[in-house]
Amino acid sequence: MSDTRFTLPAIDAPASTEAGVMLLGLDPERLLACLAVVTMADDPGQVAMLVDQVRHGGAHLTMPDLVAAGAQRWRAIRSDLADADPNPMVSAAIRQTWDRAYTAIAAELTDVGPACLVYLTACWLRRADIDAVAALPGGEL
Amino acid sequence: MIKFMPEPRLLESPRGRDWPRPLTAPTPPTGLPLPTRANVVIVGAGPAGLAVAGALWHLGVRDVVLVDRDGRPCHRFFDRIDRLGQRVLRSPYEHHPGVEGYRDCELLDFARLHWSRLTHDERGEIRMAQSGHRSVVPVDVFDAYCRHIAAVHQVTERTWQATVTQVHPIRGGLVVGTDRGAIDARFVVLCQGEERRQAPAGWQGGHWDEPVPASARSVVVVGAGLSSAHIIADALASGRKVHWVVRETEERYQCADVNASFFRPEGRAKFDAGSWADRLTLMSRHRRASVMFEFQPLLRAAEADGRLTVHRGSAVADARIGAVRLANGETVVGDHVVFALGTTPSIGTGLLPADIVAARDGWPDLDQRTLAYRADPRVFVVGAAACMVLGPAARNIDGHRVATARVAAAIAARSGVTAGTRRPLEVGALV
Repeated sequence: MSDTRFTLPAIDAPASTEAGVMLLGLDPERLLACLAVVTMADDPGQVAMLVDQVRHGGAHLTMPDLVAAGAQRWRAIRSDLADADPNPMVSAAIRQTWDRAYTAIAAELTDVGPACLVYLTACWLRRADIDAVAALPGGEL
Repeated sequence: MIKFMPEPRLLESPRGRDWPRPLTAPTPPTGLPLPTRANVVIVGAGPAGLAVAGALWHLGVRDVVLVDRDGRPCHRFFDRIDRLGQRVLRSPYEHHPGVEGYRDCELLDFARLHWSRLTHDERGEIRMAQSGHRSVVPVDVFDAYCRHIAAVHQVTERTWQATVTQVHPIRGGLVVGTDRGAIDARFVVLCQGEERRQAPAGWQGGHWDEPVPASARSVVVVGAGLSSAHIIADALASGRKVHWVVRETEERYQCADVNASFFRPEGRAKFDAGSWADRLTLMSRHRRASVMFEFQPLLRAAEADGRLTVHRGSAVADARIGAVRLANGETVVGDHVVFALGTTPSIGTGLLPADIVAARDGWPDLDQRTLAYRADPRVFVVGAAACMVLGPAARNIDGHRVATARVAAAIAARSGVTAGTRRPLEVGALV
């Protein structure tokens, strides 16, 4: 017998939403690093795991290199994201904010993979922090 | 009021899912000779060894060798779990061998990152954990997480397969003797876990970590813990009739295997404040065998319809092939007898000289601040052996994390390592 008082929210949310709202909490350097390697996997979780390895000195890559590569990618695609989501919503309802931005970006950027879409959405929603890091000397190749 | 409703379906989680593997997979040192020297040797690469290795990595102690009888991080831990058919851990999501304080991926976040691979019930367990309710952790998620933690902290490539036969103190360090050669070490951390409790001499039957013969149509299970519950559930699912022998007057169902307060600093403080005798009393009161609540509906239903017979309130006097004689004179008959009598902590006996273990009431003599043996502060222990310092939760994964913080900080301080990463404040106090 189930207890309806344990009805739990967003159980059936898409994986992109669940991973996305979590990734929004990452620091901008890590998001940019993920953006740099996002073509290596379709799974956003696998991308995060790879960057975790790099942060720990593994995978024969370095975080400064990844951040710089991610920043370059960010600068190249930022205007496309602005076109895709010209009126970004600011809301305390983070899942709604995510879903709206993700849907808008997915509709315009049809040639990117699923993991890339998730990280581009995360970077777009965190664009103030991302822009600040991408503008730093370390964010430039 | 929120009411807890045990739901047996929470015991079910898929095992063996195809989790994403690291894009650059670590290589274990298979076939390579054992190193002859290391700053730190960790004996045992289970969850405790994994936690210690990860913490040392973050503190900048990198010259670390793990020696494990299986040679693969956490492999024996999961092998035992799989042998029982256990699919969930009753540890909360907060308890895992990842390293706190270094922005590493936590177990809960790891699970959420892999949302698409989780079942509806598993997603519900995550939401329950997020909202502060009691939850369970799928073994499959925990296994994938441990592999990730082992990979990122370079544990896999530093874990050698060997059986440690002794840890011998010498003037300038320690010698770790193994069946594949010796390693000179400056520090040794024992993370051996627990061994199954043997049945008294003369008792005949199998143990919980051994398979039940396929030909057995009925099973007698002796013991009141979670392993017993799994053996019973598996036997019932196979259509076997089961007799369950429980020494206490009734079986005990509870969420965690110890009172939740012992997972928190205030619970440990209560333990710290007590005398040795008080601690022994607390240990005996709180380390009792128990079964997860979720088993209760299944076992009660089986008892009601006669598939399960529970023999409560009588100790076992003797056990022979196919028959268990109880102290009350009753004899319980079945095709196979299984002993699930729990485990005993490995406290260093058999590896270390007895004067270093300095065992008292079965517990080693440890420094409370560092978990080093007081007779030789170069040797540390993590796991159930630290129960008389950290309380009954020392054997749990949360206990490993607490112990690991103390041990790793002490080793880093004594190694004079200055890590580039943030170090816990207590390091300075332990130099």
